[in-house]
Order: sequence, then structure tokens, then C-alpha cells
Amino acid sequence: MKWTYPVVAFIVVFVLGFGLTNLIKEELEVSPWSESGAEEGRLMAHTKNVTRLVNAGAADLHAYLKTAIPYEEAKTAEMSPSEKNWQTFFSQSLQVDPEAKNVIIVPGGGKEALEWALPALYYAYFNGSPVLFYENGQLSGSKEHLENKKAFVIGSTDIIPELDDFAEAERVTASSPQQLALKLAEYRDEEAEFGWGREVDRDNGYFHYVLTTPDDALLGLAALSYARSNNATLLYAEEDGGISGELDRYAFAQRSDWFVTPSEGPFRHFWIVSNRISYAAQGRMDFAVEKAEYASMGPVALGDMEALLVILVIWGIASALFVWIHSMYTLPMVKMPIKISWALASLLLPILGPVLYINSYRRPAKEVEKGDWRWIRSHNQQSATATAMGFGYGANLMIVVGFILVWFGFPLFFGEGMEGPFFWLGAGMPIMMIAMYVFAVLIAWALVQYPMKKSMMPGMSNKQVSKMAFITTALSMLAVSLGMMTTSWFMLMNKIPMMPKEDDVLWFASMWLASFVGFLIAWPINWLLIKKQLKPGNV
Amino acid sequence: MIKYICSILIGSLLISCGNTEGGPGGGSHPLQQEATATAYTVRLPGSNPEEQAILLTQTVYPATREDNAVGAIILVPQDEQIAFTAMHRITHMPVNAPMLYLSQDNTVSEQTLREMKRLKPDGVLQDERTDVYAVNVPAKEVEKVREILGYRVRTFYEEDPIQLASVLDRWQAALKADHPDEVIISAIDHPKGIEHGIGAMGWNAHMGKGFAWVYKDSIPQATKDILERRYGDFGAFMYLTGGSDVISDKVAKQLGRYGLVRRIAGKNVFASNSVNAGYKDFGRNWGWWWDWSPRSLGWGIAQAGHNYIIGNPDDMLYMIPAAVLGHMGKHGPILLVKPDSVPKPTADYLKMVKPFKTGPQETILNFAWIIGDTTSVSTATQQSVDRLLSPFDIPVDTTAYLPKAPILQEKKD
Repeated sequence: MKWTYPVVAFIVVFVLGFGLTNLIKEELEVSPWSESGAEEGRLMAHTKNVTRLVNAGAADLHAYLKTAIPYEEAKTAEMSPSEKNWQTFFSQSLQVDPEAKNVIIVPGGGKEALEWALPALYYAYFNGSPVLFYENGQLSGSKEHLENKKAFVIGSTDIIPELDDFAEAERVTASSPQQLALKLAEYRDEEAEFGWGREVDRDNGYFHYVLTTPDDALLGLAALSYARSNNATLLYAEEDGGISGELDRYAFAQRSDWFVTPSEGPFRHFWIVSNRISYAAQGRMDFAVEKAEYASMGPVALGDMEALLVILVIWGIASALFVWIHSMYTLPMVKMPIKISWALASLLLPILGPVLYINSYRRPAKEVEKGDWRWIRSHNQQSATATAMGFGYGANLMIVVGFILVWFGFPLFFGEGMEGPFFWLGAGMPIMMIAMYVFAVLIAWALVQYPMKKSMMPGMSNKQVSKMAFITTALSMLAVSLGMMTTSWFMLMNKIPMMPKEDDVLWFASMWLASFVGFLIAWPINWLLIKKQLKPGNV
Repeated sequence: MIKYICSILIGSLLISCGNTEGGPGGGSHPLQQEATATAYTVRLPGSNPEEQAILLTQTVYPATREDNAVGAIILVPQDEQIAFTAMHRITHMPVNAPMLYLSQDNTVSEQTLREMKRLKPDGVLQDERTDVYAVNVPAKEVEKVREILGYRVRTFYEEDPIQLASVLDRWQAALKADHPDEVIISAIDHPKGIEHGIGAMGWNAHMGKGFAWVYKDSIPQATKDILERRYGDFGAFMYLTGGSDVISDKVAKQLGRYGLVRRIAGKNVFASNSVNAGYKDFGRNWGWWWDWSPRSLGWGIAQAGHNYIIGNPDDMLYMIPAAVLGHMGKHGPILLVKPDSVPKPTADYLKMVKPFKTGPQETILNFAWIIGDTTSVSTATQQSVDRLLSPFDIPVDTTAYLPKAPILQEKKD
């Protein structure tokens, strides 16, 4: 019957391994079920967090926004922006704040200069910062009254060389317009009041974004009103209409969380003004800034609580590997089923598992029969060992059964016969808990505890061994379940606002935590079983 | 062995990374030019309930990946009372389901079927991975969905909306292993019963509490059954949508034997829904020593920084599925306007939550969805709403700006 232990271990490792690997997998495929992608059959282009302004050109967009955003504070120049007049357009649009503490130096000239300048122009327009254009070795406009303001030079020294015109100057540059836009979105000089300062830890800001491509920078300029009306930062997508990893990272960092209800502000929104930006990219941005509960921050993202619990799972895996490798190399006298049990127990008992394991075997031992060793341990340590023996297989099997149910969906019973005080027995969670306990007990009894007891008590009849194994398994698992089920209910139904699914790390992490608590509850109960000599604690 | 492990790890890493491909995204969408956007509003311009429902699912669920697809889909006939009941109880998490309509001849139209295919539900984990909740959908159409799309369908057949509320209450209780003690109650026999309750329905789509019908002057048995299922320390917490002209004081008094009765009511449907947007009731529900659970019902929004769903009270079939906008995205209450004006109760509420200029880096912002085409809510009304939502004072009347503007929202090249 020795084959049964590795079989159980294989089932545990296979199912949990599959589940945990499934967490890493991120599907980027765009609606493979449609013939031509998720855009197929759409009646309009807006999504809940992204508005797409389809346009025929900068003049068209500018004319539209003059009426759609009719506010004096967000007014732009009457003329339409073009590649030739963009500096004039901006200068006429800008309402300079005489008390602005900064002056912004941007490249002037052709289209390429606009691409570099535009992200800073958005902030200048929002803040009322004076702007000077550097072109043909000269700064445009008057520098009068600007000397005492802190200058921010946008672009590399190849575009704008070092300037001596200002008492204090700082250069902000990046390797591409896209990266420069992202840098300005996060940048903040509080003293000089320059930069949007929209970093990951700005949890309370109502941020909007205008998204275009460098090649469509003129469209971005035509949408300048949004900088004031909607506090919009300009960001660039890639020229092919996709989004870069950096933009993806930034957008996800802007996802806001909710504590009590998702109707809490703030909210984030994108305004797309380039026709070439793909629907896939739009869908990604829409998803990135969708509000999510604090605990998990939604799928793909990583919430604070998730991060904390992920550590628990990773430590568990590391603990299991340590115990398995260590026992394989250093404890030849320990039988294979016991080693498996310790490794599986350590998987769910990060740190504590290895500590108990080491404490169990750094003790005097004696060989009671050939190949059959016993270690001299305190009563408490024996209880811990006995708990780990049942827990290693049992708790893992419970998680395996739970995962399979979650994967395929819970059955649900709500017929008229289910009315009354026990209606809740028709719900998925109670069914999952009962199934976890029943199936795990049956499997652990047949494939682990029965053969284990049989090998340790060869003189006892099969029936007696079977009965004894069943009682001890059922009792031991019941003890584990007391802590495990209570904690998993608390986590999945109470603590986490929305019950996590099979592809959410919070599901696994909650089970890990629940198992840990289950062990702590089962430990003192096993103390009694040891005392009654129903379980061995010195193997 | 190490080589194999490394290969698996690198493979896992590769499938977990990537970028979002480009390609034109402007498209030529038939309703794009009707979907007018202002600074703080975007119109979802459905010209009939079926189309409106599709526009809503397309807005809320890009379905470019599993995580922004739906959990399931609600499929109902174009029946206000049935749709209202279903939206109250099915939409909210963990189901995560928008509503689509059958066509007027009670069949699943080609455009709705295609939209159902595009949405590709994830399946409701707590309910056998159900993909579609079909309420009073003819069996032939259910079979069509099963066979053509391969979706798992749960059917509810209950022509009486009062009984339907009871069945859905049992189903929800099993789904969550709990009966929410807060129950919103609307009048089924009052001509404006749904209009008074549409905002509160939006709250349920957002937070998933209970719902039941009453008659103006009596309580049906099915509703009594629903209320008797509540076990809170005070039984149920009931919220009547509309004043005593909609649900009589006699009924309110009779309901008192099942728990605490409140009203979310104004003098007219505009006021009732404005009150609903600002309404909040919280406090004791039940407690026992180390654990306790408060009751909590209502948006309670009385400050800037929120989203609204705005439409016409004459278009309830348009507004009912629009509650999904309060369930995902920016979330927010439903407000009602007239086609050509913003009525005083709605305008007064929006003035209360009007943003103002704050810190140096941003301003608190509001946002609103306009439901229906310009016959439902005119362009001028949309612009008036935009003004009310903005952080700016408006020195000039801009209500006529949009009609004069050249239409932008179409791809011309």
C-alpha cells in the first residue's frame, strides 16, 4: 500500500500547482470567440472609463470641443491648430497666471518639437505657467518678470542646450515623447508647483487623461481644453496604436480602490483623441482604471492584502521544499509517508512547519525494530507531530476538493422545500465546506490513515484498523475544520468584499490562512488524542 | 530536470507578459456620431430598448479578456415589471450580469444574439457556472441560446412579477447563504410605481439588497413570505419608493409588523429619485457578542465627485438596463430629467453636489451618462446637465451650443 502516499501527494501537488500556475497566467487574447475581435458588432466606441472622440482632423476636433466644452476657464484659441501655427495656437489659448511659480521651456518648431512639448503644454495650460519656446538657438517671447521663477526645461540637451537665463532651472527629459509624458504625469516639484504628481500613492485625486500618439500630437493639442475642464494629463500610446508596458504599468497604478462601496470617488477616465489607437488598447485602459476593492484591487492588479497573503503562500512553498529536500538528504530513518506528510504540512504552515519538523527530529531516537525508529519528544511536540501527520494530507486534500468545486462552479439548491431556517444549506459555500470535509476524510482515510495504521499495528484486524483509522481521521479533520472552515467563511464571505474566484490569489491565500488557523485549533485536540493513545506522536 | 523546470518557468513568464497590439481603433460605428460627449457627460443613444440595452453592455463590458467580460447575462422580454424585478435581484455581484431584451415578438434577435456571443460570460461560480439568466424567455429561444452559443442557461418562468420577486429572493438567498434584511418595496399597481423606484433599483443593482412588490392598498402573500424570511433583530428594514399617494399609509402601517418601514419619496418622480441619490440609512441590523452587522441602504451622495445615470421617466425600458452603469465603472445613482429641461428637484440636487476648484493639482469632478437618443433627452438638456456637473460657473447660456456645432463623431477619412 506504499503507493497510496505518493498518489495523494501527486494529486495535491498537481491540482494546487495547476491552480497556482493559473494565477500567473494572464490572458491578453482579445476576444478569440469573435470572428474579428471584441470590436465586432459595436454600435459606438465609448466604454465606461474611456471616451473615444473619433475625428477627421485637428480642426474638426477643435471645432467640436469648442462647443462641447464651452467654459471660459477652458477656452482655447479661436483658430484651429496646425503644424505651422501650433505655437501661436497655444500662446493664444494659454491664460497665464501671474503668480505662477514656474516657467516652462519647451522645444519650438516643427511637428517633432510639438511631440516633445505637448505633455508639458498640458500642465502649463492647466496651471497657467508661462511658456517659452526654444527654436533656432533662441527663446521666443519676453523673459521679463520670469527670471525669478524656476525654469523647467523640457527635452534633452540635443534639443534645448543649457540656458543661463534663469536663476534656477531644472531639466526634465526622457528617451521618447511617450516616456516623457509618463515622467511628467508622475513628476512633482512642490515648491515650484510644477508637474502633475500623479503617482501610485495619490489615492484621492480625480485624474483624467487625454491619450493620443506622438504622430497625432496635433489632435492632442486640439483637445487642450481637457487639461483645464477635466484636469487631464496628456499620455502617449505607441505609434502602432498599442500601448507600451510602461503605460500599462502606469495606468494600472492609477486604479483607485474602494473601502465601503464602489460609488466612492475618485474615478479615473481616459479621453482618446487618436483614431489609430486600437480597441484592444482602449479595452486595456478601461480595465486598468476600473475601480476595485481595497483587498485585491481586482483581477491582474495586486492589492495590499493580496500582497501580504501572497507572502504566506510563497513562504509555504519554500517551507515545503525545504522540509522535503532536508528530510530526503538527512533523515534516511524517517519513512517516506512521514516525510511527505511533513512537506505537505509545511506547505500550509509557512515557517511553523519547518520549525516543528526540525524540533521533532533534533532529538534522541531509537530503533524499536529494524528500520522502525522512534524519537523521544515532549507531549506537546508529540501532539504537534500527530497533528502534522493528519493535517499534511487532510488539509491539503480539503483545499484540493474546494478548488475543484470552485473551478467547476458550486451546485445551488433553492426550491420551495429549501425554505426555512436551513435554507443556507443549499448555498455554494456550505456545500463546498461539507464536500471538502467529506471527500477529504474519505480519501485520507482510505489512502493515508488506513495503510499507515495497518503498518504500525500489524496485529490488529483489518476491520479494527479501518474503524480506528476512520475515527481518528474524522476527529482530527473535524478539529482542523473547526478553525479552517470558520476562517475561510470569515475571509471569503465576510472580510473580502467580493468572494474571490479560482483565478484570484485571495482564494488560495484565504485557504492557506484558514489551514494555518485549522492547525492551531487541531493541535490541542491532538494533545488529547495522544494522551488517549489513539495517535502516535513519536514517529 | 533543472532544464525542464527552467523551461516551464520561462514559459509561464512569457505567457504572463506581453503588450496590447495596435491597429486602427477609430472604426465606423453606426451610432458613434449620436454618442455625443461633453466635458462631463457621454450619451448612450439607443433608439429602442433592445438597442439601448446593447449599447449599455458594450459600454460597460469591453470583453477583451475574461476579467472585463460579464459574469452572466440577464435575458428578459420587453416587460417593464419583469425587467425591473430581474434587474433588482440578479445584476449585482457575484452574478455580474447586464440585461438584454428579447425583441418585441419575444425572440432573441440577431443583434442581441451577436452581442451575447461578444460578451462571452465567465459563468457564475456560485451557481453552477451559469452564463445566462433567462426570465420568462420562451423555451425555443432558450434552446437557441444553448445550442448556438453553448451557454449554460438558468430559466425562471413566472409571469406574475410579485411571484417572480419571491422566487428570485429564494435564489439570491441560496446564492449568498443569506437574506439581505434591507428590502426595497415598490407599488405594482401605481402607474408611476416603477418610475418612483427606478433610483432605488439602481442601488440594488449596485449593492444587491432585497426587493418586493406591494399593491397601493394591500400586501400580496408572496411579499409577506419574502418579509417573513428576514431574521434581523428587527425583522426586515423596508424602504418604500414613493409617498403615500404611491404606497398608502395603510400599507406602510401593515408592513410595520415585519420590521422597520422607511420611505424614499418625493413629491414627484424627479424628486423621489433625487432624494434616493442623497438617501442613506445605516445603523443596527443584528449583533451577537463578537460579531455584528449594520444595515446600510442608499447612495447617500451629498457631495461632489460622483457619477450619475440620467434619463427620461417615460423610457423605463431604456432606464432599467442602464442601472448596470451603477454596478460597474464609475457607479452612481439614477436621476430623471424631462426631454427638454432639467426639472427643479434634479437641478437642485445637482447644484448641491456641484464641484468647486480645489487643490493645485486637480479639481473634484462629476460625470454622467445620458440614456437615450435626443428624442429622450435633448442635446440642450444634456448641455444643461453638463453645466450643473461642471466645477465652473457659466456666464452665458450654452444650451444652444451643441445643435449649432458641426457633427464630429464620425470617421471621415
